[in-house]
Amino acid sequence: MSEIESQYLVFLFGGIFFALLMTLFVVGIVFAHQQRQLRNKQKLDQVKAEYEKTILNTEFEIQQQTLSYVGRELHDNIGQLLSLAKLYLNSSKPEKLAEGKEYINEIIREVRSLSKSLNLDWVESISLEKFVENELNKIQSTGFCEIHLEAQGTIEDLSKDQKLILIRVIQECLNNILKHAHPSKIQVKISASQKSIQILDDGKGFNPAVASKGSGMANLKKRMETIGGKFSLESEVGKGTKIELILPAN
Amino acid sequence: MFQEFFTKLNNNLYSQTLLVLGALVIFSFFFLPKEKKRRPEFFYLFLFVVLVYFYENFAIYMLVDKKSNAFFHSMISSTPFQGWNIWILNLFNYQISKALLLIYILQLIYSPLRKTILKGILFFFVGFCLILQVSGWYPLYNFQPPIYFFGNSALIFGSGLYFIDLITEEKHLEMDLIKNWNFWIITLILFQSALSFLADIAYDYLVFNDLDLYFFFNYISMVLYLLIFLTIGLYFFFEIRKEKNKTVRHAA
Repeated sequence: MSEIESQYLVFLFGGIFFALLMTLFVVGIVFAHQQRQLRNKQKLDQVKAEYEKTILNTEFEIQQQTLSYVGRELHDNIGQLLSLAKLYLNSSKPEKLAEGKEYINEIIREVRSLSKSLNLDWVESISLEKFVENELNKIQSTGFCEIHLEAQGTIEDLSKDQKLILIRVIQECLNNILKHAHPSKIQVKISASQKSIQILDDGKGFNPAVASKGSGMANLKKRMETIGGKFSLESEVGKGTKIELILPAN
Repeated sequence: MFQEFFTKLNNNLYSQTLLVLGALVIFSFFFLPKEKKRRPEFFYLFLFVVLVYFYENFAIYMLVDKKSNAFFHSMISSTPFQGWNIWILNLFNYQISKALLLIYILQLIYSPLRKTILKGILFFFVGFCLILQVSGWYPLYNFQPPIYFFGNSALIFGSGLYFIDLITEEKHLEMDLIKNWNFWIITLILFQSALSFLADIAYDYLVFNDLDLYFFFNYISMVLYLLIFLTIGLYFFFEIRKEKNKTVRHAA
């Protein structure tokens, strides 16, 4: 074999080997990258499914809460009004009949307002501040404790899902206070500029380091994280509790 | 003199291809939209092509124009002039172009830790080259094996960091690797550097024992350099076409 032939063979086989090596490398990197893309897609699908599950659960819980509120209203308010209306309408005196009709009109108004709360469209139309105010008014009407609302600005840029979760988290926080803290005062501070909601009570407090039996706090924290927000809690035995909800930055 | 320069060019297929390809790439850069010209990945690639285009032709010219070569030699050394042009390759190819490619890779990496490591390597490389030359241990007009070794190792390591970044950083996840020109350019840089690295460290052995293999390393390295040029050219060309299509769509 001549020198040129041997040189040609070295170049040919060397070149083929080198091209193969490069191809292998490129295929390897592309494969690793695609695997990671696939894993990431699966992870994203999982997060999305979890998010949808959280939204569904939240909707269900709000509906449950609404139904129990509607039940209470039907029994304590509309039921009473209907009994009164029946009583007055059965009377033969014209002024009693007129009063009975007034009661019927009031019942119609109450039923209309109740029917509006049965689907979740109200979530879109109500502002967060108004919702908190309503919830606090409900607490005050029971005479359970003193309430105080401090709202600076209006929080506007929240999607329906984010609002739904926030409403449920606030409801759950207030329920927990009423159930466990026995406070004499509940204070809610809403700051639109800092995108935060603080819920403070002067109840009996607890030690957050001691793990609770339920998964309530962890659940609230997870829900806030689902919508890109944050949940933090400070409490001390005998010194009340402070909950801070940092809203998602849209 | 220019006659001699073109005769030398005519005898060298690599230089001829580089002359044509380089001119096309440089020319195409000017057709890129303004905002793309300012983007580091395009700008550094353009600088790299201009640099290689300049030093490859300048190196050939210095072999012909001995007077100018002797003048430059007298500026960097007091030793007698022997007609070599190695100082051009030492300075522009083994030092400036390697540093430029490291900077190009650096701006494609997202991880702050990997960025810091590569910055460290870059500064160390520049410092290393300066110390070796200023101290006189490895002067510019002679062979500089430690600088060749460090330059190629830095590029191999830098490319490795880029590939690790590519398969670990979330910001790269959306990217389609096959259609990503930077990925192909860095793959070619990695293989070109690996071949140069092998040829340089085995230089003594190969020259005396297996000259075919030594030429093989050098020729493939040249082919890879041309492929890098071609890929950069295609990158620019497709970006110009993309922009043109966008303009046509807007007009429609």
